[in-house]
Amino acid sequence: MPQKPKDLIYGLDDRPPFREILALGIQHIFLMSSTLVLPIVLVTEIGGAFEQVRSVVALTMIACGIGTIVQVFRRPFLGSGFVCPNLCGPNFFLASMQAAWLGGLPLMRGMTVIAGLAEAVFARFVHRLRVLFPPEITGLVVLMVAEGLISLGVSKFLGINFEGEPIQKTTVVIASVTLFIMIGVNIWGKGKLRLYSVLMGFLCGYILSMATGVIPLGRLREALHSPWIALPFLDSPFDLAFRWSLVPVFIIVSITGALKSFGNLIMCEKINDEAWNEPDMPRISNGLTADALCVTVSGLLGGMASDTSASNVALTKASGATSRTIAYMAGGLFILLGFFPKFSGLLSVMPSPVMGAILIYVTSFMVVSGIQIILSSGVDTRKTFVIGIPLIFGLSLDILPSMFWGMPYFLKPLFDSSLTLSTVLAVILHQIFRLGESHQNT
Amino acid sequence: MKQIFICILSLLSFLNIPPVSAGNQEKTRKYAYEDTKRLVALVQDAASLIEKKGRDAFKEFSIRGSKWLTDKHYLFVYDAGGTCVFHPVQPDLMGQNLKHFKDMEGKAVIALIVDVGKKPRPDASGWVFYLWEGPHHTYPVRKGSYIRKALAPDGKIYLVGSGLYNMKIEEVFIEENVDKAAELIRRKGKEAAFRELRDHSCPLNVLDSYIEVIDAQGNVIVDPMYPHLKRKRNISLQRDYIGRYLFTEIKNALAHKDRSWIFYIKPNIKSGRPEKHLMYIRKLKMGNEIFYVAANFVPAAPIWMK
Repeated sequence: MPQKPKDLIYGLDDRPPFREILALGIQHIFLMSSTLVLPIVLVTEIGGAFEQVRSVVALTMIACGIGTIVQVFRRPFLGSGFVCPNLCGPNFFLASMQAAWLGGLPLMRGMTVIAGLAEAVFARFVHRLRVLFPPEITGLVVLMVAEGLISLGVSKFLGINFEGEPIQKTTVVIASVTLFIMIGVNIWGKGKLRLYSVLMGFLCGYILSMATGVIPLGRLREALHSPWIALPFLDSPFDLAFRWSLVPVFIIVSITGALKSFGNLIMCEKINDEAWNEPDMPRISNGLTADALCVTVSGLLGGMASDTSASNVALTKASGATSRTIAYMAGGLFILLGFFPKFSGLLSVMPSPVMGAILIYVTSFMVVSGIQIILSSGVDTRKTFVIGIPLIFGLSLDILPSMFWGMPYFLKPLFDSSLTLSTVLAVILHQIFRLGESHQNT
Repeated sequence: MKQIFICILSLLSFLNIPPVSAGNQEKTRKYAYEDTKRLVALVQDAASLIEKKGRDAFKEFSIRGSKWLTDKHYLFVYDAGGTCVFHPVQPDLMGQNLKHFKDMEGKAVIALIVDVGKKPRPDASGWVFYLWEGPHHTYPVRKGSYIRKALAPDGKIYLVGSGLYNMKIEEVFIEENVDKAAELIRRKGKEAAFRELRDHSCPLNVLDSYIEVIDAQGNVIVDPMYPHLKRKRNISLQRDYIGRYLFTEIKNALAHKDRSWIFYIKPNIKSGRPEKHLMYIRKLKMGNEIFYVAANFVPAAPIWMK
């Protein structure tokens, strides 16, 4: 039986008052909106009209809302029962872009469905892989998921969009103030004030961004000119295409996404259980199935592929509120907003400093959680290398990617993401270094 | 809590530093990259100072650590005749008339700068792209400089400019120069214009992006990278990374209009990953002939996507 940690104000089964559920749900949807820029960029890149951009954003929101709600279920085979919301998945971005280039939105949708089905298969087998994922490796996965957010968080915090651009002082100041408010409320906030640390930071960041003109005015204008209510569906819903050549790319991205969700769900377990010591694999398997369902629905509806949100999980820790009712509220609101283009448009215009501050805030929680999980396993010489070597090579891929450009073609997918590389290396090394372990123990 | 409020208030006191002054926002709106915007704003501000103080402004431009002179950028000033009147990084150039100076590719750099001064508007401006050895380089690298005409109180015309080394190509550069190339062909006729466009030193070539002309059969008939070949290759059967016929894309895009942007995908030469290329094309009808005037480039990817 999980033990509710002392720092949680509202645990999984608690029912906060309605207005608090509403405020906490809004706090989550702000964060879930942080990657809505991805479908905007993607549809714009392939020359899509504004109507298409709006539609893909709305459909992605609806799918993410459904995923957030399904995740909180505790049905046989479906749902982990945790607040682990979905957002538009950054790791799918390049693969989705490739599919959209190749065959437009129908191919992107079709391949997203394939990715969802691949994750569903992975989810059904993941509980058999328990031996591959001891706490030190799951901790490493959480750590690398956090590492994957660093470049986006820091570039937004500094206001740098492209290489060679100068640091934007105004952006840094607003981001620092936003971050200070979130941290200050979290550390020194009395009573239930801590629940709203992120929301307070958001509001302050938005106000300062508007006052200083940091908010992207062009997109703000577009959002304001959108209709209040509209059906988000494209002219040809369920228009799916398929291409064999893209299957490997989408399966790899899907497994990477599943590994990330694996890390997120472990973090959920740890946040909700004071006495956590190892992953509950059947529960994680059900959580991954919910995520797979969300990705599939996203493809079928016509949105961009989604993923569980590490930042939202970290937010539950930061706010001390993991009540399931919050996930129902956040998911429900996200679905609803998909039908209100003006509001969804405004949400997707998140100022750079606000996004930077929030990402750095939540990534801090994830980094520490990852380290805690690693250390909880009692690090010995074997584990030092099982963690150290993959961490070194994983980070080297992000620091100096050009070193790996000469890799043989069949190995390239492994070197597409530092999360995949470090996880695969850790699993292999763990199995190698276990050799002789039972002999020594006897 | 009190300390936090003090920290926040101190941070907020920095907020009165606008990245680009409001007056310059109109001039910089068409650019996508912040470093381009800042460069344009800097040169506009420098021109305003010359218009107010004349040559006295040069003293301010030479103060190291000021907004005018940093490790990243410097200003230079030429008079309307092409004599360098201010250059804080290469002071030997000052006093020399460099109107006939050419870079390694044969581009008459200073003559192009002086041409900006010949435009009728008192606040005329323009871009010049060339090869130049910067303060931290040991060999010339590609540079794009923004030039602004400034009328000093004594009536003299100055051309003040500043540049970025290995700068990112803006869509607006490509659009303006392809339009100019199309105009050149229309004005001078195909033979004379093609000869000019084939020249590597043609001012319409932007950094690593060159003007190409393709005929109705898909033959590349102007390609500055191979100036002596009159028909280098036929692109009608050329496919991009995702299998689309490039020439078919061009023809489809221009079926009902005379200008368009298209994109195509090619593997990155180093990483092998697919990379988006943008191409701006103008369709020209000259008698019975149809020509496609085009230039392409690789747009910069967001830094977080690397």
